[in-house]
Amino acid sequence: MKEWVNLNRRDFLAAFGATYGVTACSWAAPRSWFLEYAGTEDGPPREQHINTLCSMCPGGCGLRVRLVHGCAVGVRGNKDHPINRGGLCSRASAVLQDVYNPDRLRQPLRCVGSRGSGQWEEIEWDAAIAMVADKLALLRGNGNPEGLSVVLGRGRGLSRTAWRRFARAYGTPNIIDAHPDDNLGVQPAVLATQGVAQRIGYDVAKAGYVLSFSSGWLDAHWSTEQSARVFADFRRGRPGFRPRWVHIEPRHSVTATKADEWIPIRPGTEGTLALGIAHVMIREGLYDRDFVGRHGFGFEDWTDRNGVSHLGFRRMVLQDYAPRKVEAGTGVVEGTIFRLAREFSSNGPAIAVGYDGGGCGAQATYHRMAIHCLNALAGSIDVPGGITVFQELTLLDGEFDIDDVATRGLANEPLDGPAADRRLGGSAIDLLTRAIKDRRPYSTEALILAEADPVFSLAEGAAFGAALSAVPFVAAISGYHHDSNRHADLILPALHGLHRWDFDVAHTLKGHPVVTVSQPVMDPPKRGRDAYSVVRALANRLGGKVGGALPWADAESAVEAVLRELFDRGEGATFGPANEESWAQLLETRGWRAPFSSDFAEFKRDVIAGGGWTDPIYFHGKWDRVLQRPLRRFAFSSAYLASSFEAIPAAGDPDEVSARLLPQCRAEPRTSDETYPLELYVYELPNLVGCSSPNLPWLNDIAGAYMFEKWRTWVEIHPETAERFGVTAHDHVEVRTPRGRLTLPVRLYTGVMHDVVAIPFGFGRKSGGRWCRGIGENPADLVDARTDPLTGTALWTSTRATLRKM
Amino acid sequence: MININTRTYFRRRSALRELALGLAWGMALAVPWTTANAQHAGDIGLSSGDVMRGWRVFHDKKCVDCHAIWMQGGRVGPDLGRTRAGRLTNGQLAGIMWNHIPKMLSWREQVGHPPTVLTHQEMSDLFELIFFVRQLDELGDPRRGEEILRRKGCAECHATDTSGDSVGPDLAKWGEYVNPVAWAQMMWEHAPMMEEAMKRSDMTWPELEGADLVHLVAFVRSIGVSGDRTYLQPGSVARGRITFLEKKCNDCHPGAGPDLTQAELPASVAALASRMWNHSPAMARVMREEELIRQPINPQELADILAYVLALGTRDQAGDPALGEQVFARKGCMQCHDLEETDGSDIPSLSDLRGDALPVNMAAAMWNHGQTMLERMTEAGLSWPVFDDREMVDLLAYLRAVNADSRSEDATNN
Repeated sequence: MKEWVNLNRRDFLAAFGATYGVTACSWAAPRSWFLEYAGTEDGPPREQHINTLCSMCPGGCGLRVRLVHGCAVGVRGNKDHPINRGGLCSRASAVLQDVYNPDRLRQPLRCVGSRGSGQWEEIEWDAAIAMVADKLALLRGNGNPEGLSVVLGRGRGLSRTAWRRFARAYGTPNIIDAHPDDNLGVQPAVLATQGVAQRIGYDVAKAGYVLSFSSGWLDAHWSTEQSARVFADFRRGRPGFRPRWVHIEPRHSVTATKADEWIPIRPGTEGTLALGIAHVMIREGLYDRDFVGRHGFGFEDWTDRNGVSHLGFRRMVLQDYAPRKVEAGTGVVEGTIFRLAREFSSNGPAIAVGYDGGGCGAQATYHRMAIHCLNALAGSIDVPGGITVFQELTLLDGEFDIDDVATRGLANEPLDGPAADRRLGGSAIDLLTRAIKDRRPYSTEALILAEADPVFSLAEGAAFGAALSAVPFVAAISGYHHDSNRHADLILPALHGLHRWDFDVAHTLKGHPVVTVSQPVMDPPKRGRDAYSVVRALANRLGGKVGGALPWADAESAVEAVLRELFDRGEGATFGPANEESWAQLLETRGWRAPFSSDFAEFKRDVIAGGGWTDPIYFHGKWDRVLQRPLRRFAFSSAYLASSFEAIPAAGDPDEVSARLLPQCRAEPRTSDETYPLELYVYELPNLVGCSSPNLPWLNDIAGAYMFEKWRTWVEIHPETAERFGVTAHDHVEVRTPRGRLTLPVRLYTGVMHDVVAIPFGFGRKSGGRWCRGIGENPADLVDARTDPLTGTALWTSTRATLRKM
Repeated sequence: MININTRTYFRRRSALRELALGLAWGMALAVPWTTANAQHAGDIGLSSGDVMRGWRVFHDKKCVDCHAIWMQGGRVGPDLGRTRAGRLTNGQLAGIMWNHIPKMLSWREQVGHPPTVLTHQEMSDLFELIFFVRQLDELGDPRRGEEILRRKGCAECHATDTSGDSVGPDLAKWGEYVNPVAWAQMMWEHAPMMEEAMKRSDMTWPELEGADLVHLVAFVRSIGVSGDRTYLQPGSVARGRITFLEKKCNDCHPGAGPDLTQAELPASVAALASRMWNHSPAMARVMREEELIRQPINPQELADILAYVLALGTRDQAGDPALGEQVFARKGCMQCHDLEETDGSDIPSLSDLRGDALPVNMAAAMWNHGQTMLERMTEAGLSWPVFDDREMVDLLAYLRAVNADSRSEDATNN
């Protein structure tokens, strides 16, 4: 009894945590399901630790899974992994709940009622593969391979590679990414300004000053564990030096909480503020003249090859973005704009970060261009503590023969917009909806949802669902039931990441490529098949040159081919103790190489044991790599747009052409809209962002911990705004927009800007497992999305709203 | 064997690939670098350590918590890659470690690091690592490289914009060669041709100073059109020694050229390569006079030769036992240690050292027993003896001589 009396706070929390964990585990993993994995092994516990890839989000982190008798019982971060360095986010912590989830699909399902009726029957794998193959063979036999669309979702390297190769061999140009923002980040703006197709990173740990424009850095970054670690390095990595982080966002987010200063701003006006800051930097001569002079283009007025003169960035910014005018549009006061410009330019290396997360709320490309121009003005492009350009790494990308049918099919225009290969975004799922519905430029006869749920995740998700109904045949690969595959004819269960061979290419924020190997740490379920095997089986049934697209016998062989390519590069280091990576870095930056693995067998063993491979070398100042076509300069006035994007007229009114090449971020002053006096701001929940599995009770339980909310969707309103509408805490209100209405509980929050209603995105699924179906509401139902003309993707930040107390 | 005619690939693009292939073959065929070092170094009086093992020891034994190597690691102790400019020999390194013991132990206690034991082999590996990282060059600065290229007049003959419109090769095509030794080799091969061309244009031979070469390489890398990188394997001392003889370098060194075992040489690989470049016209003249043939040499061979030459600089000059005896007395070693075998004392007799009174052994003994020794000395009111560079070498020579004498006496008595 005495021991209990003396129980201190730490012991109590430890005991409570352990009890909670065990209880939750037993709750989440019904005994019968768990026993299938546990097997019947007798004897003393056999313990193993295996490094593998975390499949819970696109971050590319490494896991270290603890197994007892071959059954995963615990998970930690792989401390040798360059991205998470042993860290583990909440989603990764829930991976066991995902792998043992009782609602995971385990057998192919065929729809037996009308589409969307939810009536399914289990069928055998061979029958399911035959069903898909027969449909695709018929389509191809008719000479219409372009009638197939493949929508890629949360699948990783091997699955995506397999589908891309399959689509090329089959002959469809319609391989469309359901989460373009996850995979592109600020890439469209980088393409427009730097001409490079790679994503960029931010060397925040060495920066002296960061201006974060609704970046989602600690909330919704594509690699939250890495962004948190880098943020910690930024804060504490240089004793005696206090760098400064200023966060600008309509809402006081986690990032804002950790920042030195939070500046509220009207939704969707971040680029306007960036140009206001640029105005002060230019007017006061605070920009890096050397960088702008040596590497800039379009800063001053310029004349094209036809002798037509064009407006330059300097004149445009000085004319149109005076701080007083910017204040009226953004809500950020003039004095603050002056101060930010002076701080930004005098505390280098300085970084301006735009939205760098996944999913909803993407900034318009022009806004991202404006923010990125600040980096050029500060001279922070490709310098330590500044912007890095990810080093390209393509794997299993070798050419293979295709037949005439495929050649003809690939010659068709992709359904997600005209000349998609030249559009900044590369993939525009939002445009696919219209193409399917209008049957233009041709009809979609078959559609495969490869671990994608666009009906839930798109702003126009409901419209996409309706469009799916018009497609004669829809198949889905998925671990669970969800809002999209309820429209399918057939669902093929996806194998969990802990059960399969796979790989993933990610990057550190310093720009180093990181390849993580996923391996089956446990025996897969008896009837499970990995995505690669499914695609290969399909290809083989179609035969001919389609069958040759995937020459590797199984996923393990394909991963071995990846490792062979890495070994043959003769660069980089396998994950191992941090010293091995730093050894490679020490030598290779100086032109030497002495790898710890001497031959391929040793290399393969080391990669699989350590979890992956990285190339920790980044040479700054390779301008031919970081500033590419068409001018090999940083384009304040985008020559890329002028030369390659047909939405920008090459001829016509010179002023109009000039204006379209420059970042267009004019924000209109707030008007009194009596019908919809408020602005809607949708943000992603940190614990659910990018999560590949929606059916995790642990995550639902902590989804809104900072607001003391869980298991539902709420609306955040500033108390003064609420008072105007006669709303008090814990009331329910109807939030109405031109698009729709939702009834939600109110949370009064001084951390949201006046006249803005903020709603988290993450709940509100209409189908799925027991822990996500019917939980909360989806704010996408309210979003009156407009399309970014430069990328074709939907923007969530332009919707007006009103409230009514219920 | 690799045979690259550098003059040819200055004219033909395809030869660049040959160079890369040659390097790859060189790396594949060569005796594994570290093993070769360890096996053969003893033959020439150098350390028998292994650099990569040393790297692991450096981390496993947590040296990295206090010491950085080229700015990677702790900040408490000196950066082992950058401090102590100039020559450093085995004996000097042992002396530095000896002097450093009280401070190191005090710090370890403060941060709570438990004592660690280093075997003789581990200490040898650490020695090898320290000598190796000291030979590495700083990272080049492209802007400084561009400025050097202009100031030295290189840009008068070499274009940097892939235009191909220049007397010499366009440097923008050579960005993949990220190692300064590869550049030194190309320049070495290129030197006679370049000397002729410069004579015709009445230009003076550009001399490279300090880190000029690494800055130049950094600049060329920054303008390089290729994303590839061609690496060299770190030079092998053992292979370098063989190549040094095969290429007949010993015809001149020592001879018409300086004795490399005695010369004051630069500390880093690129600086040594720059020295070769600067002396190229003089070397060419002497070779013509002596009717010696300029031997073709590939980049890996040059890396090996440079490693060998730099390793010569780590050898101690012969110590003076007489001076060592004075050091032994002056530093108070004899207050605790006997030179004859003693029974019953827990203080080790230095007779145990026998012929092993070598710098590495001394450093290992100090590391493993320093704590006890410091405590004993503190109890006895003795201060920790500090040795300068010469004193440690002489002391070791004395201990070896004494033990050799005692062994002779033993043999006679027996």
